[in-house]
Amino acid sequence: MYSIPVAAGVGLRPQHHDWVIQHRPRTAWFEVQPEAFIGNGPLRSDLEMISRHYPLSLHGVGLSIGSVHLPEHDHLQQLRELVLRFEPDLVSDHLSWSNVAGMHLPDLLPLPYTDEALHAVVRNVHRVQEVLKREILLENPAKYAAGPKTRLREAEFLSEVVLRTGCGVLLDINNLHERAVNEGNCPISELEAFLATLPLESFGEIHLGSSACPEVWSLYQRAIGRLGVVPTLIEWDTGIADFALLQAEAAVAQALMDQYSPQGGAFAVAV
Amino acid sequence: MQSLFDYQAQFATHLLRLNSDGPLDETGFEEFDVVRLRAHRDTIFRSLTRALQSTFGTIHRLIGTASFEKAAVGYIREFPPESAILFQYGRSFPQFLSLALPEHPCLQDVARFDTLIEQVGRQISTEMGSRICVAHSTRLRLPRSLRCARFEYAVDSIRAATAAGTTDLESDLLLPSSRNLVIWRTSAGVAIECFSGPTFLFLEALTLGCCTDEAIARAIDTSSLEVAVAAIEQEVLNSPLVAWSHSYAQS
Repeated sequence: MYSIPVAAGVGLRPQHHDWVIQHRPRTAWFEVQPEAFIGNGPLRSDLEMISRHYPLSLHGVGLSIGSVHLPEHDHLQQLRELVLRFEPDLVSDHLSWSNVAGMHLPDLLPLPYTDEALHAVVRNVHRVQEVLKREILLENPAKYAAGPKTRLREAEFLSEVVLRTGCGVLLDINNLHERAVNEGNCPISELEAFLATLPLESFGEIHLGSSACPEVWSLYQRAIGRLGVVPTLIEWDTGIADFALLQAEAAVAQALMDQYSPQGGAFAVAV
Repeated sequence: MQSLFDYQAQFATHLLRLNSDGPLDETGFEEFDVVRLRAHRDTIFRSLTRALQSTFGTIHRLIGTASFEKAAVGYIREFPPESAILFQYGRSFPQFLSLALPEHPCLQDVARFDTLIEQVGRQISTEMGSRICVAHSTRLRLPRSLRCARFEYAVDSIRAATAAGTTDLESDLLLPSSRNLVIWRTSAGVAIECFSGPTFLFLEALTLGCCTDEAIARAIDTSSLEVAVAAIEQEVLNSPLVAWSHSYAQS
C-alpha cells in the first residue's frame, strides 16, 4: 500500500491497463472505479499488478448515497473486500442517487436538497463509514436536471453532511462549473460559496475533467489558492482519451500545484 | 414537496419511459427541463446497452447494431438492473430475446452461450477440483470452473463464425443442431469442448457432485453401457479437460 501524494494523479480505465502494466509510466497515483473490479475477473489481476507500483484511490459510482434506501448490502460488502485488499488511501463516491425501489440506474441522479434527503444522506454515509471503517469523500455532482427549489443550497447541504458524519469533500471543478452554468449562476460565486461554507480541511481531493475549458482551469487555480494543494485527479469521463493526453494534463495540474506548494511539488513514484 | 421515495421512484420511472427524441411533454414530470432530463436518460441507456453488448457480443454481431439497440431499450425498460455491478446485468436477456425476436429462435441459445462464456471468463481460478475415483486405481480431476450446458443450436460455431464476420441471420449455421458443451477457464482464456451425449451426461453428473457409479448410470440413459463407456473412455481420455492420476495402491 502506498499513500496518495499531494500531487496530480490520473483516472485509470481498463483500456489503459495493459499500457500502464507494460510501460509503468511516471504517474503520481491512480484512481479506479471499484465497480469494475468487484467479483473475480481479469481486470482484478490487472489491479493487483498496478497496485504493487502505484498509490490507489477508489472512486465509486454505485453506493447511491442519496437514495431513500440504505446502500445495498452486497455492494457494500464487496466494496469492503476491495478496500481491505488494496488499502486505498482515498475512498469516495458521489452526492447523488441511482437506486430506488429495486432499480439501479447507472447514472448520478440529482438529489433535491431537502431535510429528508439530508437525513437519508447522513444515515447512508454513516452506514458506509461504519462498514468500511474509514471516512469517505463525497463528490459534488454535475446535476444536468436542476430539480425542485429547496431550502438548502448544495454547499450548505454538503456542509451539513460533513459536519454530521465527519466525511470529506471531493471537489469536482468541472461539475461545479457545469451545474452553475446549467442553473444560470456564476461559477466563481459557486466556488466561493463552497469555500466559504465548507470547512477547508474537509476538502480531500479535487477532480478535473480531461480537456477542461480555460474557465475550469481558472477555477482550479482559485480553489488551490484558497485551499492549498490537495491531491488532484485528471478524470476521464467520455470517449477514449490517449493515456499520454491524460499525463500531459496531469503535468499541467502539477505545474499549477507546484506554484502553491511549499515543497515545490515533489512527489514520489514507486517503481 | 413530495416524499423522497416518491420523488426518486417517479424520476426513475420517467427516465425509463423517456424516448431519446420523443415529444418534450411526454414525461409529465414538469419540474424538470426535459432536455436536461434526457442527458440522464441517454447516459443510463447508453451504459446499459454497452453492458449488454459486452456480454452478448455474438447477438450484437448477428442482428446488427440497430436491432440490438432496439431490443436493448425494450429490455432495459422492462428489466432495469437491480445492482450497480453492470457486468452482471442481462441474465434474463436470452429469454427476453426469444419473445422479442421469435422469428430467430436460435437467439436465446446463442445469448445463453454468450452469458456462460462471460461468467466462466470472469473466474480467475484455473485450479483443478479434488480427485474423483473413476476406476480402481484411477482418479481424474476436473477444473473447478467447469460448466456443462446443452443447446439446440451450434452456438459455438455460430459464435466463432460471427467473430470472424462470416455468418448472418440467413446462414445454415442457424438451423437446429444440438450441442453438448463443456466450458472451463484456462490460463489462456475460456476453453470449449463438444462431447457426445453419454460423455456429456457423465461429466455433468460429476460436476453436480454425483459419484462415479451414478454418473455412469446417467450416461447410459440414452445409450447402452458398452457404447457409453467406450465414448467416455475415448473422449475423456483424450481431452485437455481432465487431469489424470494413477495409483497402484489399493483404494
